[in-house]
Amino acid sequence: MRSAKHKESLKSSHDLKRIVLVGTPNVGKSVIFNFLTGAYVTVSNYPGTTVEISRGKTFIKEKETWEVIDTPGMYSLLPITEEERVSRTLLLEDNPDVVLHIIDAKNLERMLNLTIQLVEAGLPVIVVINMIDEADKLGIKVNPAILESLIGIPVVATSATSGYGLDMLKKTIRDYYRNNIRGKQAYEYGSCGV
Amino acid sequence: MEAAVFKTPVYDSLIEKSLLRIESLLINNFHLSKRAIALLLLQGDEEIHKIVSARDRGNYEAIERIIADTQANYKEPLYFVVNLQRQHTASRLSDQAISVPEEPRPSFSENISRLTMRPVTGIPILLLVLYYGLYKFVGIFGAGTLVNYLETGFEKIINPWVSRLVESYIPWVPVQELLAKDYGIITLGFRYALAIVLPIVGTFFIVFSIIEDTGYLPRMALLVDRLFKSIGLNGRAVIPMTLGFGCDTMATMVSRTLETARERIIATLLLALAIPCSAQLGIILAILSGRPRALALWAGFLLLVFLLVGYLTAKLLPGDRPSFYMELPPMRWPNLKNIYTKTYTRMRWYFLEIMPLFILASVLIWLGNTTGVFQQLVAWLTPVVNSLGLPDAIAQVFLFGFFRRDYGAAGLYDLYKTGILSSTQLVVTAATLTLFVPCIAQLIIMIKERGLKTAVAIAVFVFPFAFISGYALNWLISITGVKL
Amino acid sequence: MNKCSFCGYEFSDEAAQSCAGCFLRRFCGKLKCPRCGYEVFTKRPGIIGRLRKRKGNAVAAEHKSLADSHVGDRGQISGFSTYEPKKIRKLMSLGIYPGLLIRLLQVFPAYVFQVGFTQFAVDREIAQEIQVTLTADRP
Repeated sequence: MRSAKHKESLKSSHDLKRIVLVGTPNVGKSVIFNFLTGAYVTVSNYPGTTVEISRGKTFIKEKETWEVIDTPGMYSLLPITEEERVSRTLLLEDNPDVVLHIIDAKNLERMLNLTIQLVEAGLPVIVVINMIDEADKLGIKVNPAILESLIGIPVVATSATSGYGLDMLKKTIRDYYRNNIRGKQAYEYGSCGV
Repeated sequence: MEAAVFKTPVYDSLIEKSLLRIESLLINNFHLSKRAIALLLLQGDEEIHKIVSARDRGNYEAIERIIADTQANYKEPLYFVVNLQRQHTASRLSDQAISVPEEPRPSFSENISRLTMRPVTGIPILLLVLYYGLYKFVGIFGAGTLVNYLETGFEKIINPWVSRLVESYIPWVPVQELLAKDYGIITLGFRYALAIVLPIVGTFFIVFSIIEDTGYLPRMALLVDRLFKSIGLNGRAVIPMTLGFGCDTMATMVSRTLETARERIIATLLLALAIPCSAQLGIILAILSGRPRALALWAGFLLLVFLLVGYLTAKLLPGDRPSFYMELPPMRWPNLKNIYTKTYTRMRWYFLEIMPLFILASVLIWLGNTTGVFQQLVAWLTPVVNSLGLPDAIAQVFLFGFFRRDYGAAGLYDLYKTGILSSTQLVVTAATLTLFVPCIAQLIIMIKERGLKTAVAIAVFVFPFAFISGYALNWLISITGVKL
Repeated sequence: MNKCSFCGYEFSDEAAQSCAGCFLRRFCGKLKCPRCGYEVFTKRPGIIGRLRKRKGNAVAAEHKSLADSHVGDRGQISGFSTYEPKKIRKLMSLGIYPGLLIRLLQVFPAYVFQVGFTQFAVDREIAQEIQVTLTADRP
């Protein structure tokens, strides 16, 4: 992890703090991106490639603007496609302050694999279990609190299409970032069990 | 960055030990943790290997030795071993965090999904989707009803008004012609963009967004995979190919999602050659719809060319056979907001990226006309056109068609209204025009996406091929004596 | 292993490639000996046998590639037929791993199978790479 001092210096150079969204296709990544950024989005090619990256801005709390970056679909940290390569380069070089790993509640087993890779890479990850309502319909019961205690990073359950859990997501980002800055090993997050 | 260790052990002790040894040998700082770098090295990530061998030159040999020693303990490649062990951890975590019901009954959407995938029911469904989505909605409603309505508005109200305005405020005739008159930016460029292309492309994007949002696209892909394999593509290519019926330029851009360079080249070629864009399609349908046999001949001929050229290209181009693998997201009711967002994004893209090229085309046509270059080109084209059994006026249609596919088609429509063309001539013209041009916008995107060399090679193939095909078609019709 | 009843040659399913191009191959229930060309009847059920099998006769556990399995078969992914990283990367990145339970839903025009709550479509080449241990059919 970068030191708190380093973070402060970044902040003072009026560089915006960054949220990077990662996840496989079909997990509702773009819906969450749209929720965070609203209408102010720019789409551009990643330098030297034909891969498109969407960037937008969001208010995590009043008067605090963050940049949000949506990466193309990514299955693993070890890339096969050009899109995955770009996603990894973004994670490698853009120094995200928070990485949201968006996963499909119906397919936790398959998707946690990337979560583990992201945590191993030392990235500040928050797991977003999306489509929780669809899982519910199938009778799959997900317990984010257990997962959170097992992996040791924040886990938020959302249903982006209905808006469920999205405000909690913002709060989690805020708390997680603040706690990271303070350099706490174990962050407090008990206040919003889902 | 220090090593970030996962809370629970992920790998077996042997791999963990190797990881620690590699980590201790990595000197330089990466943005990712040393552990992640060590893992990627073990898994044989070429990019990371290259970076490390350049940066930590002194230790790279030692690292390679550790990797080889570790590999010696396993039968399968480390890539597989590492991933499998990680997946076991993921499965363990997920088992604790979720409870899964005994096998659920197939839901309604699951049943629909099955119907769309089985050939017996899937192919009729596919044809229905194409018929109602493309033909009825885009072809008849978009290209027919809406275009008529908007065009009339333009011709009766806006064009005369603009021409009057320009004539009274701008004294120079060439500038008047640039802005208004027959081929002006406003009278021609904007009219085509707003009154012809907008309704057609707009309706197409709506249909495409609905199909995309329901999750039907991957099912379409699996149905056509075998057919597409024979032309060197795989089922995934159904996305750019279908999009091509809306706008070939956008489709060429989307073909970048195909996996191999070989597939991208084949898709680009077929899009440039045999897929008519919605603007062309709408006008050709309007011209030929009164002559069902002529329409069938045109469609059959294009399909034949599509399959034949695809098949031959696949045979000639070196490279591996494409493979098809796709996740099938569940089918669902389309979400209105999603459809709106998707259609809106595509329309915005269309207007921001393509409109300037349309205006450029208007300017080029104006330049060509005022400098007399066009007259010269038309004079050269006339004998070629005549050899296809077509009248002189068609030469201009072809030339303009290059600047904008639909200019050509629209020009053809004007000729058709005067009634000087026979059915045979209409079919030959329509077929040649469809094959002939990647419009200038598409050509620019081809260069941007595939590189100058490939784009030029494709163009050099397409131009003569279109005329030879037109010639062959005309000859075929005349010797068989088919009445159209 | 299959044994030719004419010349006695033993060959694997993969070796019987002579039938690969035949569209009846999935139904005819016969294999062509690669040495002498004699057509051997196999234990592989023909179309009648398959219909009967789908009705739920229990079948002992067997290993085969997904490409040789039948609609409705279920089992566990036992491994891949090749472990060359380039080939298995696609499968593993999609989350298809040995150990996961799998169910084959469709074989034509593409192979459709379910792992967990997700369905995948693959072509024959990729289906051949997935090895499965079939479990007894449910009644």
